[in-house]
Amino acid sequence: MDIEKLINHPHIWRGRGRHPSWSTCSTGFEALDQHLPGGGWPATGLTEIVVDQYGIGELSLLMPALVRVGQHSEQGGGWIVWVDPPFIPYAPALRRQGIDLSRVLLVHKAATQGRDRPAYRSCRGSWDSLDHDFLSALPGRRHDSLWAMEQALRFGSCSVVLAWVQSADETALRRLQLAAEEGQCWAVLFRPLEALNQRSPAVLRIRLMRANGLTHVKILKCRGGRPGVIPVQLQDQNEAEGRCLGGSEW
Amino acid sequence: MTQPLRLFPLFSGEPPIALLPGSLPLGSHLGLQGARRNQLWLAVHMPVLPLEALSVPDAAPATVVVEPRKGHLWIIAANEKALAQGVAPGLKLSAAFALSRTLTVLGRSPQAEHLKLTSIAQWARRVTPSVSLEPPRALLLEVRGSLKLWGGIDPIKGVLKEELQHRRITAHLCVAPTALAALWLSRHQQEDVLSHDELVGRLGSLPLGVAGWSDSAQQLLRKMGVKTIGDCLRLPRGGLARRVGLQYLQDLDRLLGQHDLRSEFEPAQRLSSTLEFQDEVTEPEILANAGQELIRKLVRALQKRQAQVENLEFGFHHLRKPKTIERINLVAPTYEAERISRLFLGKLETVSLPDPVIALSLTTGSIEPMIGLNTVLFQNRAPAAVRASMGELIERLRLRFRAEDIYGVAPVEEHRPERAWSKSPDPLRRDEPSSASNAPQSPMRPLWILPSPVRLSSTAEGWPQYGDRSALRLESGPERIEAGWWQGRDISRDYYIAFGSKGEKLWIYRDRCSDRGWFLHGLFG
Repeated sequence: MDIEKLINHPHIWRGRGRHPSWSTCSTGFEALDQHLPGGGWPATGLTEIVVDQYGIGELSLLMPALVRVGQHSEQGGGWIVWVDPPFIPYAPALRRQGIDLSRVLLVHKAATQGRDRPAYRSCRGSWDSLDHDFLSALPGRRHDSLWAMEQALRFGSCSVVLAWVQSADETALRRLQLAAEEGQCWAVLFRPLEALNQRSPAVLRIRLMRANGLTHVKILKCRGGRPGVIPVQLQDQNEAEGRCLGGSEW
Repeated sequence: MTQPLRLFPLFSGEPPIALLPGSLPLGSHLGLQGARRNQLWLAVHMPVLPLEALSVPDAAPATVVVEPRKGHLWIIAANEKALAQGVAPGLKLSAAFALSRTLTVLGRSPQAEHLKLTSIAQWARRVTPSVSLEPPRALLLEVRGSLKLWGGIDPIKGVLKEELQHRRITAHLCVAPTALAALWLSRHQQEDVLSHDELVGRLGSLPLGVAGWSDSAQQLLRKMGVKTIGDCLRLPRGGLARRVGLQYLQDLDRLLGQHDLRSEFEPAQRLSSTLEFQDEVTEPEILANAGQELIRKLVRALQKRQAQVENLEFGFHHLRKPKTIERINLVAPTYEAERISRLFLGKLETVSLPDPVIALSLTTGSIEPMIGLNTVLFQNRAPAAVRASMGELIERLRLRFRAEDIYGVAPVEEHRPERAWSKSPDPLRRDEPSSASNAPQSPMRPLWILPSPVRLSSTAEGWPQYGDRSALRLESGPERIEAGWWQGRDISRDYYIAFGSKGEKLWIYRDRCSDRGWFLHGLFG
């Protein structure tokens, strides 16, 4: 048997240093780049991000890569599609980060009667925590979001698709992964904490937590790499670019 | 939109008289009477069309329609209440405000006027097929051929007057042997002229303003002492052509019967076809096949006409119930069968039919001439191809989402944060990339904003609370924003960046206006 074929067999794990078969896009944070195979986010494939709270930097983590996608794509390309975001992406802030707003598309079913889409809960004047209240999204609504994401990945020739979906079973995730590979597109799916126990065919699964003023990126599953926890300092108001403080792994 | 130019010339008569020196008596133009006498034109002049096209209700207060010209706003139409106050077309808006303090001012909408004009023209085709638009506010109908059917000129005028009254449009109708004569007479609200002999006599007393000539030409003629059309006809032809302009001489010739080519109005074409089933059908495969067949027929018809279509309507006919209509609105006009059939199959998945279907029909909206798409041969993601595929994506998404749920965002120069962004419902139309301002001068803004601010509860000391009743830690601020007082909805807020107990970075504010409460407006995602 050819030695090359043996070495490149996918069932043989070769440790780090092996170049992944998918293209990557630099994250903008050095330690994260060093840890991920290929030196960045997988540019074709499904990335799952599990968040337990909004506002801990889940978008800021992706911002450098989104800006890079917009700059390096050909003229007329570089579309970013947002499917069912929990809140409204604020245009002045996006522009300040450097995102080309003429290449942004939102697919967002507006709340009707207030029952459809409370991403947050507020009752009687008092305020409960900003729960990623994926609940009360009607099942039809969830299917529509998954369907929209798959259409965008397969047909849109866009570069990035960001989606917030309450729950997705393994079949749906596999379909999304295949659609992302077929459409050569980077798919990012935000999931709630319940998704931790689920198996997933995604290329990369990470969980975001915030402690001690730093955002910790816990890599749950990484195709071609090893799990770990990496603290990342996101862009603050007085600092130019995000700095990271080295990686640590267990 | 190009309309085919079908010309119906007036006559093939003699050439105009050679230039004669000196002034000519009034009747000399009768020498042009090689004109064929068997044309009869009816002109419909609608003086208040700019106002009526905007659907102003009768009970509205004094309303005027203005148009910008040479840096000022001029009034081109006014309703009765405004006329009663002395405001008339031709005044400047500032002068009108001096006469009447309360005036509703509307801007002129040429599209609405054109739409109204074409709809009236389309209706007028039942009187005669030769209808010609005379924008901005007139129609010309050639009615000699319809006199026998309608029994004279008066029934035709009666029918037109009734329909125009029904549509609440004021109009003046006038009949004359030539088109321009009918038009000019209707502008002056004159009686009909039925024979060619009395034409010159009747035209003689018309003022110069009915011709619609340019201001400089009118002024020049007025300075020469020419005030009516009759005076114009008496002028020497060579002198008129040299001093004022050749086109005015040609206008006068056409007035009296020279060649007058008018383009005929043709309404937009629509295509439609129906497929009937032998039995009542409930299976979706049969409906899908029938739909594909109709689409193939449509595409063949489009290719024969070199046209493309943008809006389609599929009708599922039932025996006992009114038909179910499913509309497909495409982002860009197309003539491709696969694209239409993909959308049709997508619609078929989601349509709910109350009864079995006995026939399937396909009707198009107006069809337009085909414009080819330049595709680059070897490059996969050419810009036009990317735009086209994003357009297809939006069409597919519109199958399950409403059109207003798919949009782009754009920043707006505005101090109030909730108004500093806007939805752009047509995200494909914006070609130029918005300038990325990474300047540190632009203030720090959160990546997420809530649709409307949410009130936070506060602790006993007045600090804002969040989540598990723990006080938020204010990090930076305050940034005071006060704006909107000129619109009556003024805000005065102090914005802070705060951290919650779990590390969330929030954008909150304290309202200084009405209640001194804390609100959450955004999150730094």
